[in-house]
Amino acid sequence: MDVNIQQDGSSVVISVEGDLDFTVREGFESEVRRILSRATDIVLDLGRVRFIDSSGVASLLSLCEDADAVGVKVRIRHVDRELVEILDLIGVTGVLPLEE
Amino acid sequence: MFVWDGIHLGSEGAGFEDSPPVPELVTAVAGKLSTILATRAPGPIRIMVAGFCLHGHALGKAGTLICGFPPSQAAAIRSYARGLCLLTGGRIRLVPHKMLLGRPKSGKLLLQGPAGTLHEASQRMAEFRGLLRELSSTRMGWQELAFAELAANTVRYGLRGRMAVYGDHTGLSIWARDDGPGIPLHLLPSCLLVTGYTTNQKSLGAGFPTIVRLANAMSLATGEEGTIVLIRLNSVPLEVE
Repeated sequence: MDVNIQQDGSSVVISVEGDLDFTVREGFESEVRRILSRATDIVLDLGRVRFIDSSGVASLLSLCEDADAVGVKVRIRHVDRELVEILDLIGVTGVLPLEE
Repeated sequence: MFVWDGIHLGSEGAGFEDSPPVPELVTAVAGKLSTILATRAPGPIRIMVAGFCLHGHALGKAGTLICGFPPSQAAAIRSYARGLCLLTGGRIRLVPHKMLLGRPKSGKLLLQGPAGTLHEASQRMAEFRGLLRELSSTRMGWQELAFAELAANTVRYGLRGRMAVYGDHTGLSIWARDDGPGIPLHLLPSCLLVTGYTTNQKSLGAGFPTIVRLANAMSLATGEEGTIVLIRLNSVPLEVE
């Protein structure tokens, strides 16, 4: 999994590529947590994420909760149809801030 | 006591007077155990399935069931085994450890190895992805998800976990074993069927419920020796020799 971070002022776009699963959870979380202190608005671009499991979903939820606690807004965009099906199965589609 | 198509629903003590009408109750049990718990006010509850009884105590909160057992543990285990099997349409079987120590009755061994550490489980995950590409040109995302959830559990609960995959042309069987403390019987319904229920702060509590939704059949043995899970995933025809 690769994480690309682009910052424009206080807005940050985090682009993720690869599989967001239990094998990369810790690395992903430590990578994105560093951003929280220097952003007011985070866009998580999952357009190049091929696969996600419940560990990956837990990371996304954890990021959203931590961001919310410090007043940072998170949006998740470009979620592939197959990913949405997995999120539906896990039961978190309505919980994550997914953009159309 | 309510009776419906061989399934007896009843409870004792407080909390039953304000229960939903019988059809809703039946639908809830047939569909999802958590639904019935969510509608329950705090108080003792007893769910009888085909003569077997699950005793418990609903806490008035979705997904929370604390069960008490009859004096005989063996009777409780039999009750659970029957109850879980029936509540999941025959897809979940609670079995003794020895039944899951050998290889499945059918299928060729396609992959096996240690999966107790994150490194080992990551290797098995990569091997499984490679295997899926060899077996079918069709994307097999659900199989990948089931394997990932089992592998994550194996890492989470012990260091000497192992995984294996067996297959034939009609589908795959995934076997996972950990040496963790096992799932206490009174937590089994919640762990298996209730999304969001977890005893581990780092976990979403969606692993087992996701596996249960994906598997065409699931056998589970759990206790002091750890936990062994064997799931069957039917699929498009596979190129297994």
